[in-house]
Amino acid sequence: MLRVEGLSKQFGGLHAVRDCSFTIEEGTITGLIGPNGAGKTTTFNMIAGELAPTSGRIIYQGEDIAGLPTHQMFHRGIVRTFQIPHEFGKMTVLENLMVVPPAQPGEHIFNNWINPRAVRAREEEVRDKAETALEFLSISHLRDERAGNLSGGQKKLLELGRTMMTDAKLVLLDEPGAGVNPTLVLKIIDMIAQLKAERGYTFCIIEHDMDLIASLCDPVIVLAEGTVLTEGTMGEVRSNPEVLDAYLGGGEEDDE
Amino acid sequence: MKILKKLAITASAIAMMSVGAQAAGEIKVGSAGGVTGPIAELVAAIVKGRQVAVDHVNSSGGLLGGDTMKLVIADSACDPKAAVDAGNKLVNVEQVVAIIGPSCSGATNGMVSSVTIPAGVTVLSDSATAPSISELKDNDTVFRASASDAYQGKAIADLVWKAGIKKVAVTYSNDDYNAGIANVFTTEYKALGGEITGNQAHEPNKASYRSELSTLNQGGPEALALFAYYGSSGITIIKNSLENGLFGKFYAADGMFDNSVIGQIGADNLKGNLWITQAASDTEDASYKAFAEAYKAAGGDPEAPYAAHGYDVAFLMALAIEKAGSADRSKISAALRAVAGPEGEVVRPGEWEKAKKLIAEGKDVNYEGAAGINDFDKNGDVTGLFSVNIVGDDGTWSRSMLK
Amino acid sequence: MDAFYGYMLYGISLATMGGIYAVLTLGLNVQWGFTGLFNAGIAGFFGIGAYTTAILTTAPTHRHLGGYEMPYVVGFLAAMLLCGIIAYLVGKVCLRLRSDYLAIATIGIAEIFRLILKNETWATNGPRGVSEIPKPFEHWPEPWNQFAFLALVLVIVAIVYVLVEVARKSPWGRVMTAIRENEPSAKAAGKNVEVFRMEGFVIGCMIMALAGALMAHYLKFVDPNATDPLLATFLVWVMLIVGGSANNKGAILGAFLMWVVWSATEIVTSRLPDELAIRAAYIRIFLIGLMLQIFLQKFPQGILPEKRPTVPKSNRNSETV
Repeated sequence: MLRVEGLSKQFGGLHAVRDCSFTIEEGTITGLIGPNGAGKTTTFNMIAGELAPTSGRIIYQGEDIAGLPTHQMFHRGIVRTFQIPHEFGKMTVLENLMVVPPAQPGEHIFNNWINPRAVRAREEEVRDKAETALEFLSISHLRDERAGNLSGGQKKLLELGRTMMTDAKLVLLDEPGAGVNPTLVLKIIDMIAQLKAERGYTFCIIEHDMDLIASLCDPVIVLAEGTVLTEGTMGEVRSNPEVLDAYLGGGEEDDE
Repeated sequence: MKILKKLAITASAIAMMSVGAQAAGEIKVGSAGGVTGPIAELVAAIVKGRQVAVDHVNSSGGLLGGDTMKLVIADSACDPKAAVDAGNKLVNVEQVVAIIGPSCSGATNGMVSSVTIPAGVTVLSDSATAPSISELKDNDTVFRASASDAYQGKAIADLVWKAGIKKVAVTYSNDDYNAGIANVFTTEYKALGGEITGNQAHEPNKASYRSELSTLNQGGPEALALFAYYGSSGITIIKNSLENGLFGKFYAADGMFDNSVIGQIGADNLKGNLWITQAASDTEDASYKAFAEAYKAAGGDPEAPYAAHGYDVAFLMALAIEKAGSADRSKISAALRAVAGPEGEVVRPGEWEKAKKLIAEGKDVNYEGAAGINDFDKNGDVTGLFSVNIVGDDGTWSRSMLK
Repeated sequence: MDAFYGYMLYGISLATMGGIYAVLTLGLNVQWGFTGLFNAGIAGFFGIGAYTTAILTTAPTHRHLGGYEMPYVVGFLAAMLLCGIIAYLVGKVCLRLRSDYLAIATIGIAEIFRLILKNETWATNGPRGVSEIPKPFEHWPEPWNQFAFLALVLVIVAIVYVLVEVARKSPWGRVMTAIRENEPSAKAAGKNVEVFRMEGFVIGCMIMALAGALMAHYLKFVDPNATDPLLATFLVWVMLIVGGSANNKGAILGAFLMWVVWSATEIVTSRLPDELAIRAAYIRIFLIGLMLQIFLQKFPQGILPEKRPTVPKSNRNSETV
């Protein structure tokens, strides 16, 4: 579904990602792990269009999409979440979800003045979809709360909820379990599995929580110092001595 | 809704204050001026001139049956928006009989067009000089005691031409006032037969004007006609010209008149090279002397630009009210024309008792102002008197009247 | 003239100016309140609106371009249209900048407009300004002419309010708010941020031009002082911050309130002796600054804080995915 070929990103003298190549197969939940500073989030940012690669290609469904802007990635079905929740703080939880669906007639300002009926009809559909997502995430009671007032875990759920508001094909989750209590992590694992089963999403997950990776991901790709170290099932990766070395001798700082 | 209620209470409190302040035997005249804004320093001297005149009136009999004349200050900020607001307050809230001021031409234009002409309130400005004000359809309610720029531009053109200069370059600071004078100067000078070799606006407050000056120097001009304020560009332009040998002779309008011009450039450099006209009155004139003495006694410098005009407008307005016989807005315009001359017995600054007596006896008076003869033409304008200042042998300004 | 009648006329002038400022503040609200665009060049767009209608509607004259004696409606529409086009071009260049840099850029743009208005004498009569601009209803008897003009202003305020309030609550307004709250996330939600920001900027500027056009007809005169930042940029910002950014009712309230504060304080200060009255004029400017400080420190949300619409619950039965 997505093939990364020789991808590199340079920030001044720093090679955040260098000559990185891997493949994400359709229907999988691919784990992307590695020590801090391995270039995981930078890779995500390039796939999601937030950063343009210095060199290399990103082939998605047969098309090189490297360097396209974020919103175009979204329209191709690539949806991402953020490691630090990026909620719209002053908007209600429901609005945070309702804003996501693409091509709403009401997004054209004139339609609101001259064709309010069409806008209203679509609003009801979008609202129903958002409410469904809230129920799935079991945060319906927070519907009209300002998103900025939510707890860290609830914001993580909201991030996940946004991916449900569109016809996503490839969902990039950046540390969905970070800063979340263990009970909620288990719930999130269930939700991801359920979304894959019911909606047919392909996932790629960056995560430091090895339990989450172990229970969801196959295959697992290990990045170190900006390049692919190894790839395989969780069991294979775990028993690879190089991986252990990389983690122990690991980078200096987190890469977000 | 709570806020609205509070607002209403505040508004009515202010309203009651002002009604309470309307003391018996007080006649209010609006005193609009750019108290804040770009010419605030000039306006302070003008407002002082107005107040000196009002003090003269009040200390020697007051208006009509002994009423005091009260100036109500309103800030026109040299901005039409502020001036319209100020005019509205004076006309409607303060209920003034008439208004003296405002200072800037733009502010005057906005205030009279939007407020006082529709309300039929007479306005007498002391320093608005834009020619367009002459052309307003004002039902004869807009007057001014300073000459329109047309007159000063003409005076300088005459001066230059009579000095035997046939070719000049013109530069002006790009503001309301200087652009207007420059415009009339060019027209008048060409009409006399002179040639304008170059005509360029400049932005004030630049560090150097060398490039503008070298452009202007092309075509063999014999002198530079410089219309600018001394502080924001005038001094720099003269310095740049002398340093680079570009221009040697300068003719300027009154925005250039200040002691710092001599101080910063040096008397020796300017002697015989700089002529500055000024819409001031003849300092040998009895009217001016009477004003200057009173103004000095009040702690001011009588040579401050338009201070004498400030005095004249307040005194003229007092005469007009006296002549009208009541604080009736609708009578002021005609009364103002009557007391300004040219017929009647001459009255000079400070001579309030005399004027009051003459008016009481039903005689005509002719006020001869500190800043010149105030005989209004059909547009409510005065021709004004101009003097020319040069640097004298003692290194200070030496003034003579232009005839 | 009796005192009550005078106060009534003054009240009309207060309300008229307040109304014109309300339109201006609504324009800024679309830019800053909805979208988070820091436009510090309001005066420039205001000035363009004022000059456009002035040149189109005045009687023929030798002083400046035009004097086409067009109907007011043409003046208003042309002011908005021209300003929209200029805003689009400015936006193309400036909108990529981050908010504080956008502020600096727009200050520069407004300054350029001011210099053009001052120097292109053939079109604008330069520093002398455009005078004798017609004013709607001016030939009606007093006070009905004033009432009628006020009514016109209030009707325009109401129309602008309804339009922008509908827009604010709509999916369009939702996207705008999302961009303001978190731009990367709005992009990740597939929104073409550049296009939306441009829409907010252009619409806001067009509303500002409408306010400028109203002001030109009200004052019957416009000169480059119209682009003076104190009364046309700074005061408008204070109005929005005090009233409540992103709240349209707040924007209108702030405009009326601050204009009353600005104007009516002089009635009190002009009672002071001359020397003091002159100084007191500066106190008005200080007072406005002080109110801004107080609101920024104590009530950063303004008198009427932003309130996002709550969407009514659907009445369908609960179901799971």
